[in-house]
Amino acid sequence: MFTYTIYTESEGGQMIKRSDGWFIPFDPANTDYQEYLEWLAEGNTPEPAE
Amino acid sequence: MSTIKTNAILDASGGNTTTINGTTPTAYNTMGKNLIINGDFEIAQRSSSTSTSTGYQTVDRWKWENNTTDGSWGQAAISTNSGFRKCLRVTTNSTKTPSGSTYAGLLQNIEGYTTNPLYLGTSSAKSFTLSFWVRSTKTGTYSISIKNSNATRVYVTEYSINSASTWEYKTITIAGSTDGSWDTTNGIGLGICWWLAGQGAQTSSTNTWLTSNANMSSNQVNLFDTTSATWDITGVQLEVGSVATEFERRPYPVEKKLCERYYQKHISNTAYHRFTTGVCGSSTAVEIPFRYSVEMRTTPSGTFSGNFRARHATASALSSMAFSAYMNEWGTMITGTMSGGTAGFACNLDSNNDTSAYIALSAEL
Repeated sequence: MFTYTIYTESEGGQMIKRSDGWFIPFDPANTDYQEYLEWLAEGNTPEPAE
Repeated sequence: MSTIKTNAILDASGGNTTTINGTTPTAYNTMGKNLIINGDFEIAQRSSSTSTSTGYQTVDRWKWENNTTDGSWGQAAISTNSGFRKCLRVTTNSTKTPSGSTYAGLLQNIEGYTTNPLYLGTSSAKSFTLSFWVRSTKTGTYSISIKNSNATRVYVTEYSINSASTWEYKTITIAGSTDGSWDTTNGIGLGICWWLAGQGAQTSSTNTWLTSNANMSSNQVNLFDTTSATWDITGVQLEVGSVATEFERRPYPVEKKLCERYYQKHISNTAYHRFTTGVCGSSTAVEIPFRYSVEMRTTPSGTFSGNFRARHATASALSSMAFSAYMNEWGTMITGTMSGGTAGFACNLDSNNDTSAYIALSAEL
Protein backbone atom coordinates (compact mmCIF):
# COMPACT_ATOMS: atom_id res chain seq x y z
CA MET A 1 0.00 0.00 0.00
CA PHE A 2 1.41 3.35 -1.03
CA THR A 3 1.34 6.57 0.94
CA TYR A 4 1.38 10.01 -0.62
CA THR A 5 2.95 13.41 0.00
CA ILE A 6 2.07 16.72 -1.59
CA TYR A 7 5.23 18.17 -3.12
CA THR A 8 5.31 21.96 -3.58
CA GLU A 9 7.88 23.53 -5.87
CA SER A 10 9.38 26.97 -5.54
CA GLU A 11 6.98 28.59 -8.02
CA GLY A 12 4.01 27.19 -6.14
CA GLY A 13 3.08 24.30 -8.39
CA GLN A 14 2.20 21.06 -6.68
CA MET A 15 2.67 17.40 -7.47
CA ILE A 16 1.72 14.29 -5.56
CA LYS A 17 4.72 12.22 -4.55
CA ARG A 18 3.99 8.53 -4.05
CA SER A 19 6.00 6.50 -1.54
CA ASP A 20 7.69 4.51 -4.32
CA GLY A 21 9.17 7.73 -5.72
CA TRP A 22 6.72 8.49 -8.53
CA PHE A 23 5.56 12.07 -9.05
CA ILE A 24 1.87 12.18 -9.99
CA PRO A 25 0.16 15.17 -11.64
CA PHE A 26 -3.28 16.45 -10.69
CA ASP A 27 -4.69 15.15 -13.97
CA PRO A 28 -8.11 13.43 -13.91
CA ALA A 29 -7.10 11.26 -16.90
CA ASN A 30 -3.96 9.98 -15.16
CA THR A 31 -4.70 6.55 -13.66
CA ASP A 32 -2.18 7.06 -10.85
CA TYR A 33 -4.09 10.20 -9.90
CA GLN A 34 -7.33 8.21 -10.04
CA GLU A 35 -5.82 5.70 -7.60
CA TYR A 36 -4.78 8.59 -5.37
CA LEU A 37 -8.39 9.84 -5.35
CA GLU A 38 -9.56 6.33 -4.38
CA TRP A 39 -6.99 6.34 -1.57
CA LEU A 40 -8.38 9.66 -0.33
CA ALA A 41 -11.93 8.31 -0.58
CA GLU A 42 -10.92 5.49 1.77
CA GLY A 43 -10.33 8.12 4.44
CA ASN A 44 -6.58 8.53 4.06
CA THR A 45 -4.79 11.86 4.03
CA PRO A 46 -1.47 12.77 2.42
CA GLU A 47 1.59 13.58 4.46
CA PRO A 48 2.27 17.30 5.11
CA ALA A 49 3.70 19.20 2.17
CA GLU A 50 7.47 19.18 1.86
CA MET B 1 7.92 -11.11 -64.60
CA SER B 2 5.17 -8.95 -66.03
CA THR B 3 3.60 -5.66 -65.00
CA ILE B 4 -0.12 -5.05 -64.51
CA LYS B 5 -1.33 -1.50 -65.00
CA THR B 6 -4.98 -1.07 -64.05
CA ASN B 7 -7.27 1.28 -62.18
CA ALA B 8 -9.33 -1.35 -60.37
CA ILE B 9 -9.34 -5.02 -59.47
CA LEU B 10 -12.78 -6.52 -58.92
CA ASP B 11 -13.88 -10.06 -58.29
CA ALA B 12 -15.56 -12.09 -61.04
CA SER B 13 -19.01 -10.81 -60.06
CA GLY B 14 -17.92 -7.20 -60.05
CA GLY B 15 -17.77 -6.98 -56.25
CA ASN B 16 -14.97 -6.06 -53.87
CA THR B 17 -13.95 -9.43 -52.53
CA THR B 18 -10.88 -10.15 -54.61
CA THR B 19 -8.29 -11.85 -52.45
CA ILE B 20 -4.53 -11.67 -52.34
CA ASN B 21 -3.01 -14.74 -50.74
CA GLY B 22 -6.36 -15.51 -49.16
CA THR B 23 -7.11 -12.08 -47.77
CA THR B 24 -9.26 -9.31 -49.21
CA PRO B 25 -7.44 -6.00 -48.65
CA THR B 26 -9.67 -3.43 -46.98
CA ALA B 27 -9.20 -0.18 -45.13
CA TYR B 28 -9.12 -2.21 -41.90
CA ASN B 29 -6.73 -5.06 -42.63
CA THR B 30 -3.79 -3.19 -44.02
CA MET B 31 -1.36 -1.07 -41.97
CA GLY B 32 -2.73 -0.51 -38.49
CA LYS B 33 -5.34 -3.25 -38.57
CA ASN B 34 -4.32 -4.67 -35.19
CA LEU B 35 -5.83 -2.61 -32.38
CA ILE B 36 -3.75 -4.53 -29.83
CA ILE B 37 -0.34 -3.03 -29.07
CA ASN B 38 2.62 -5.33 -28.41
CA GLY B 39 0.56 -8.39 -29.30
CA ASP B 40 3.72 -10.38 -29.89
CA PHE B 41 5.19 -9.35 -26.52
CA GLU B 42 8.48 -8.18 -28.01
CA ILE B 43 8.65 -4.95 -26.03
CA ALA B 44 9.34 -4.97 -22.30
CA GLN B 45 10.64 -1.55 -21.29
CA ARG B 46 10.00 -2.05 -17.57
CA SER B 47 11.58 -5.49 -17.33
CA SER B 48 12.11 -8.60 -19.41
CA SER B 49 12.20 -10.60 -16.17
CA THR B 50 9.13 -12.10 -14.56
CA SER B 51 7.20 -10.42 -11.80
CA THR B 52 4.83 -11.57 -9.06
CA SER B 53 3.33 -8.10 -8.62
CA THR B 54 0.05 -6.90 -10.05
CA GLY B 55 -0.38 -4.02 -12.45
CA TYR B 56 2.00 -2.94 -15.22
CA GLN B 57 5.31 -4.62 -14.39
CA THR B 58 6.85 -6.40 -17.37
CA VAL B 59 5.81 -6.34 -21.05
CA ASP B 60 4.44 -3.07 -22.38
CA ARG B 61 0.70 -2.41 -22.45
CA TRP B 62 -0.19 -5.64 -20.59
CA LYS B 63 -1.52 -5.58 -17.04
CA TRP B 64 -1.69 -8.42 -14.53
CA GLU B 65 -5.10 -8.36 -12.82
CA ASN B 66 -4.81 -10.55 -9.76
CA ASN B 67 -6.24 -10.33 -6.26
CA THR B 68 -5.72 -13.81 -4.97
CA THR B 69 -3.35 -16.12 -6.71
CA ASP B 70 0.34 -16.70 -6.45
CA GLY B 71 1.83 -16.52 -9.89
CA SER B 72 4.69 -14.98 -11.80
CA TRP B 73 4.27 -13.46 -15.23
CA GLY B 74 6.41 -11.90 -17.90
CA GLN B 75 8.09 -12.18 -21.26
CA ALA B 76 9.36 -15.62 -22.27
CA ALA B 77 11.31 -16.76 -25.31
CA ILE B 78 9.78 -19.35 -27.61
CA SER B 79 11.15 -21.06 -30.67
CA THR B 80 8.42 -23.28 -31.98
CA ASN B 81 5.43 -21.23 -32.94
CA SER B 82 4.59 -19.57 -36.26
CA GLY B 83 7.52 -17.20 -36.30
CA PHE B 84 6.83 -15.58 -32.95
CA ARG B 85 9.94 -15.14 -30.82
CA LYS B 86 8.31 -14.15 -27.55
CA CYS B 87 5.19 -14.86 -25.55
CA LEU B 88 3.69 -13.84 -22.26
CA ARG B 89 3.98 -16.65 -19.72
CA VAL B 90 2.12 -17.04 -16.45
CA THR B 91 3.52 -19.64 -14.05
CA THR B 92 1.76 -20.73 -10.87
CA ASN B 93 3.94 -20.65 -7.80
CA SER B 94 1.61 -22.38 -5.34
CA THR B 95 -1.79 -24.02 -5.27
CA LYS B 96 -4.76 -21.72 -4.79
CA THR B 97 -8.48 -22.36 -4.73
CA PRO B 98 -10.43 -19.32 -5.95
CA SER B 99 -13.34 -18.20 -3.81
CA GLY B 100 -15.58 -15.19 -3.34
CA SER B 101 -14.56 -12.24 -5.45
CA THR B 102 -11.18 -13.55 -6.51
CA TYR B 103 -9.76 -13.28 -9.99
CA ALA B 104 -6.56 -13.53 -11.99
CA GLY B 105 -6.16 -12.48 -15.59
CA LEU B 106 -4.16 -10.67 -18.20
CA LEU B 107 -5.60 -7.36 -19.41
CA GLN B 108 -5.03 -4.89 -22.18
CA ASN B 109 -6.99 -1.64 -22.09
CA ILE B 110 -7.28 -0.13 -25.56
CA GLU B 111 -7.55 3.64 -25.88
CA GLY B 112 -10.77 5.18 -27.22
CA TYR B 113 -8.99 6.87 -30.12
CA THR B 114 -7.85 3.41 -31.20
CA THR B 115 -11.22 1.68 -30.92
CA ASN B 116 -13.11 4.37 -32.86
CA PRO B 117 -13.11 2.29 -36.08
CA LEU B 118 -15.43 -0.14 -34.25
CA TYR B 119 -18.18 2.51 -33.91
CA LEU B 120 -19.20 0.95 -30.61
CA GLY B 121 -22.39 2.26 -29.06
CA THR B 122 -23.85 3.25 -32.41
CA SER B 123 -26.14 1.60 -34.91
CA SER B 124 -23.09 1.35 -37.17
CA ALA B 125 -21.11 -0.79 -34.70
CA LYS B 126 -18.89 -3.25 -36.51
CA SER B 127 -18.11 -6.84 -35.76
CA PHE B 128 -14.54 -7.43 -34.69
CA THR B 129 -12.37 -10.50 -34.46
CA LEU B 130 -9.91 -11.47 -31.78
CA SER B 131 -7.21 -13.99 -32.65
CA PHE B 132 -4.31 -15.35 -30.63
CA TRP B 133 -2.04 -18.31 -30.04
CA VAL B 134 -2.26 -19.98 -26.65
CA ARG B 135 -0.92 -23.04 -24.87
CA SER B 136 -1.11 -24.30 -21.32
CA THR B 137 -0.30 -27.27 -19.19
CA LYS B 138 -3.91 -27.01 -18.01
CA THR B 139 -6.60 -27.99 -20.52
CA GLY B 140 -10.20 -26.88 -20.24
CA THR B 141 -12.46 -23.89 -20.71
CA TYR B 142 -11.05 -20.40 -20.28
CA SER B 143 -12.83 -17.04 -20.38
CA ILE B 144 -12.26 -13.69 -22.03
CA SER B 145 -14.14 -10.55 -21.07
CA ILE B 146 -14.55 -7.43 -23.20
CA LYS B 147 -15.78 -4.30 -21.45
CA ASN B 148 -16.36 -0.62 -21.83
CA SER B 149 -14.66 1.71 -19.35
CA ASN B 150 -17.31 1.53 -16.61
CA ALA B 151 -18.28 -2.13 -17.15
CA THR B 152 -21.86 -1.32 -18.19
CA ARG B 153 -21.37 -3.20 -21.44
CA VAL B 154 -19.64 -6.53 -20.97
CA TYR B 155 -19.17 -9.48 -23.28
CA VAL B 156 -17.89 -12.77 -21.86
CA THR B 157 -16.82 -15.53 -24.18
CA GLU B 158 -14.99 -18.83 -23.87
CA TYR B 159 -12.24 -20.73 -25.61
CA SER B 160 -10.95 -24.21 -24.96
CA ILE B 161 -7.43 -25.50 -24.59
CA ASN B 162 -7.73 -29.00 -25.95
CA SER B 163 -4.23 -30.40 -25.69
CA ALA B 164 -1.79 -29.75 -22.89
CA SER B 165 1.41 -27.86 -23.72
CA THR B 166 0.49 -27.47 -27.40
CA TRP B 167 0.13 -24.18 -29.25
CA GLU B 168 -3.45 -23.67 -30.44
CA TYR B 169 -4.74 -20.83 -32.62
CA LYS B 170 -8.01 -19.28 -31.47
CA THR B 171 -10.32 -16.86 -33.25
CA ILE B 172 -13.42 -15.25 -31.80
CA THR B 173 -15.73 -12.87 -33.68
CA ILE B 174 -17.90 -10.50 -31.70
CA ALA B 175 -20.79 -8.38 -32.94
CA GLY B 176 -20.09 -4.82 -31.83
CA SER B 177 -22.35 -3.39 -29.15
CA THR B 178 -24.84 -0.95 -30.65
CA ASP B 179 -25.61 0.81 -27.38
CA GLY B 180 -23.96 1.82 -24.16
CA SER B 181 -21.41 4.52 -23.40
CA TRP B 182 -18.01 4.06 -25.02
CA ASP B 183 -14.99 6.32 -24.67
CA THR B 184 -13.86 7.71 -28.01
CA THR B 185 -10.91 9.82 -26.88
CA ASN B 186 -8.00 9.10 -24.54
CA GLY B 187 -9.78 6.97 -21.95
CA ILE B 188 -10.44 3.23 -22.00
CA GLY B 189 -12.21 2.44 -25.25
CA LEU B 190 -12.23 -1.29 -24.67
CA GLY B 191 -10.71 -3.57 -22.07
CA ILE B 192 -9.95 -7.19 -22.97
CA CYS B 193 -8.99 -9.66 -20.26
CA TRP B 194 -7.91 -13.30 -20.53
CA TRP B 195 -8.98 -14.94 -17.28
CA LEU B 196 -6.97 -17.77 -15.76
CA ALA B 197 -8.75 -18.37 -12.47
CA GLY B 198 -11.27 -16.88 -10.11
CA GLN B 199 -14.82 -16.80 -8.97
CA GLY B 200 -15.31 -13.06 -8.99
CA ALA B 201 -18.21 -11.92 -11.18
CA GLN B 202 -18.83 -15.20 -12.96
CA THR B 203 -21.70 -15.49 -15.42
CA SER B 204 -23.40 -18.23 -17.39
CA SER B 205 -24.54 -15.68 -20.00
CA THR B 206 -21.78 -15.90 -22.55
CA ASN B 207 -21.50 -14.57 -26.11
CA THR B 208 -23.94 -11.74 -25.56
CA TRP B 209 -23.61 -8.16 -24.41
CA LEU B 210 -24.50 -7.72 -20.72
CA THR B 211 -25.35 -4.44 -19.03
CA SER B 212 -23.70 -5.17 -15.70
CA ASN B 213 -20.22 -6.25 -14.74
CA ALA B 214 -19.01 -9.80 -15.25
CA ASN B 215 -15.54 -11.21 -15.56
CA MET B 216 -15.57 -14.83 -16.50
CA SER B 217 -17.69 -17.76 -17.47
CA SER B 218 -18.94 -20.12 -14.78
CA ASN B 219 -16.99 -22.80 -16.68
CA GLN B 220 -13.66 -21.06 -16.03
CA VAL B 221 -10.86 -23.49 -15.14
CA ASN B 222 -8.50 -22.87 -12.27
CA LEU B 223 -4.98 -22.67 -13.65
CA PHE B 224 -3.75 -22.43 -10.09
CA ASP B 225 -4.89 -25.84 -8.91
CA THR B 226 -1.33 -27.07 -9.25
CA THR B 227 2.07 -25.48 -8.84
CA SER B 228 4.31 -24.84 -11.84
CA ALA B 229 1.39 -24.81 -14.26
CA THR B 230 1.99 -22.48 -17.22
CA TRP B 231 -0.17 -20.48 -19.61
CA ASP B 232 1.42 -18.85 -22.67
CA ILE B 233 -0.06 -16.41 -25.15
CA THR B 234 1.28 -14.62 -28.23
CA GLY B 235 0.22 -13.25 -31.60
CA VAL B 236 -2.72 -11.36 -30.13
CA GLN B 237 -4.69 -9.41 -32.69
CA LEU B 238 -8.00 -7.55 -32.63
CA GLU B 239 -9.26 -6.32 -35.97
CA VAL B 240 -12.39 -4.97 -37.56
CA GLY B 241 -14.47 -7.54 -39.41
CA SER B 242 -15.47 -11.16 -39.05
CA VAL B 243 -12.33 -12.76 -40.46
CA ALA B 244 -9.10 -13.35 -38.56
CA THR B 245 -6.24 -12.37 -40.82
CA GLU B 246 -2.52 -12.91 -40.46
CA PHE B 247 -0.91 -11.16 -37.50
CA GLU B 248 0.20 -7.66 -38.39
CA ARG B 249 3.95 -7.47 -37.93
CA ARG B 250 4.64 -3.79 -37.51
CA PRO B 251 8.25 -2.55 -37.62
CA TYR B 252 9.86 -2.62 -34.18
CA PRO B 253 10.40 1.17 -34.02
CA VAL B 254 6.73 1.72 -34.87
CA GLU B 255 5.52 -0.70 -32.19
CA LYS B 256 7.92 0.84 -29.67
CA LYS B 257 6.56 4.32 -30.34
CA LEU B 258 3.01 3.02 -29.91
CA CYS B 259 4.05 1.67 -26.50
CA GLU B 260 5.74 4.94 -25.56
CA ARG B 261 2.42 6.78 -25.72
CA TYR B 262 1.68 4.93 -22.46
CA TYR B 263 5.11 4.35 -20.93
CA GLN B 264 8.58 5.48 -21.85
CA LYS B 265 11.88 4.79 -20.18
CA HIS B 266 14.96 6.87 -20.96
CA ILE B 267 17.98 4.82 -19.90
CA SER B 268 21.55 6.08 -19.58
CA ASN B 269 23.37 2.92 -20.76
CA THR B 270 26.65 4.83 -20.39
CA ALA B 271 28.30 6.10 -17.23
CA TYR B 272 27.77 9.78 -17.99
CA HIS B 273 24.97 9.85 -20.52
CA ARG B 274 23.82 13.35 -21.47
CA PHE B 275 20.05 13.18 -21.15
CA THR B 276 19.32 16.79 -22.02
CA THR B 277 20.32 20.39 -21.33
CA GLY B 278 18.92 22.94 -18.89
CA VAL B 279 19.95 26.04 -17.03
CA CYS B 280 21.21 26.92 -13.57
CA GLY B 281 18.66 29.14 -11.86
CA SER B 282 21.06 29.83 -9.01
CA SER B 283 24.16 28.28 -7.49
CA THR B 284 22.05 25.42 -6.17
CA ALA B 285 19.01 25.09 -8.45
CA VAL B 286 18.79 23.67 -11.95
CA GLU B 287 15.80 23.65 -14.30
CA ILE B 288 15.90 21.17 -17.13
CA PRO B 289 13.24 20.99 -19.86
CA PHE B 290 12.58 17.41 -20.86
CA ARG B 291 10.72 16.53 -24.04
CA TYR B 292 9.13 13.09 -24.30
CA SER B 293 9.91 10.77 -27.20
CA VAL B 294 6.26 10.86 -28.34
CA GLU B 295 3.10 12.64 -27.24
CA MET B 296 1.75 10.70 -24.29
CA ARG B 297 -1.87 9.71 -23.73
CA THR B 298 -2.26 12.28 -20.96
CA THR B 299 -0.03 14.12 -18.51
CA PRO B 300 2.15 11.28 -17.23
CA SER B 301 3.47 10.35 -13.83
CA GLY B 302 7.26 10.37 -13.65
CA THR B 303 10.11 8.91 -11.68
CA PHE B 304 13.90 8.86 -11.55
CA SER B 305 16.13 5.94 -10.75
CA GLY B 306 19.88 6.00 -10.10
CA ASN B 307 22.43 8.78 -9.84
CA PHE B 308 22.37 12.02 -11.81
CA ARG B 309 24.50 15.15 -12.01
CA ALA B 310 24.32 18.65 -13.44
CA ARG B 311 27.38 19.77 -15.36
CA HIS B 312 28.59 23.03 -16.85
CA ALA B 313 32.09 24.23 -15.91
CA THR B 314 32.16 21.64 -13.19
CA ALA B 315 29.92 18.72 -12.39
CA SER B 316 27.77 18.41 -9.32
CA ALA B 317 25.78 15.42 -8.15
CA LEU B 318 22.10 16.24 -7.84
CA SER B 319 21.08 15.76 -4.23
CA SER B 320 17.40 15.91 -5.11
CA MET B 321 15.28 15.81 -8.25
CA ALA B 322 11.62 16.42 -8.96
CA PHE B 323 9.16 16.79 -11.79
CA SER B 324 7.62 20.22 -12.12
CA ALA B 325 3.85 20.61 -11.93
CA TYR B 326 4.10 22.52 -15.20
CA MET B 327 4.06 19.39 -17.33
CA ASN B 328 1.71 18.07 -19.98
CA GLU B 329 1.49 15.21 -22.47
CA TRP B 330 4.41 16.61 -24.50
CA GLY B 331 7.05 17.40 -21.92
CA THR B 332 7.99 18.51 -18.46
CA MET B 333 10.51 20.44 -16.45
CA ILE B 334 12.88 18.57 -14.16
CA THR B 335 14.18 20.50 -11.20
CA GLY B 336 17.19 19.55 -9.14
CA THR B 337 19.45 20.65 -6.31
CA MET B 338 23.16 20.97 -7.05
CA SER B 339 26.15 22.87 -5.67
CA GLY B 340 28.58 25.26 -7.32
CA GLY B 341 26.28 26.34 -10.11
CA THR B 342 26.26 29.74 -11.79
CA ALA B 343 22.92 31.41 -12.38
CA GLY B 344 22.16 31.74 -16.07
CA PHE B 345 24.68 29.15 -17.22
CA ALA B 346 23.54 26.23 -19.32
CA CYS B 347 24.13 22.81 -17.85
CA ASN B 348 23.69 19.20 -18.89
CA LEU B 349 21.65 16.63 -17.06
CA ASP B 350 23.88 13.53 -17.01
CA SER B 351 23.84 10.15 -15.37
CA ASN B 352 26.50 10.23 -12.69
CA ASN B 353 28.75 7.23 -13.21
CA ASP B 354 25.61 5.13 -13.46
CA THR B 355 24.91 3.03 -16.54
CA SER B 356 21.45 2.04 -15.35
CA ALA B 357 20.09 5.42 -14.33
CA TYR B 358 16.79 6.22 -15.99
CA ILE B 359 13.87 8.60 -16.26
CA ALA B 360 10.48 6.90 -16.66
CA LEU B 361 7.08 8.31 -17.53
CA SER B 362 3.76 6.53 -17.32
CA ALA B 363 0.36 7.40 -18.77
CA GLU B 364 -1.11 3.90 -18.75
CA LEU B 365 -4.79 3.13 -18.94
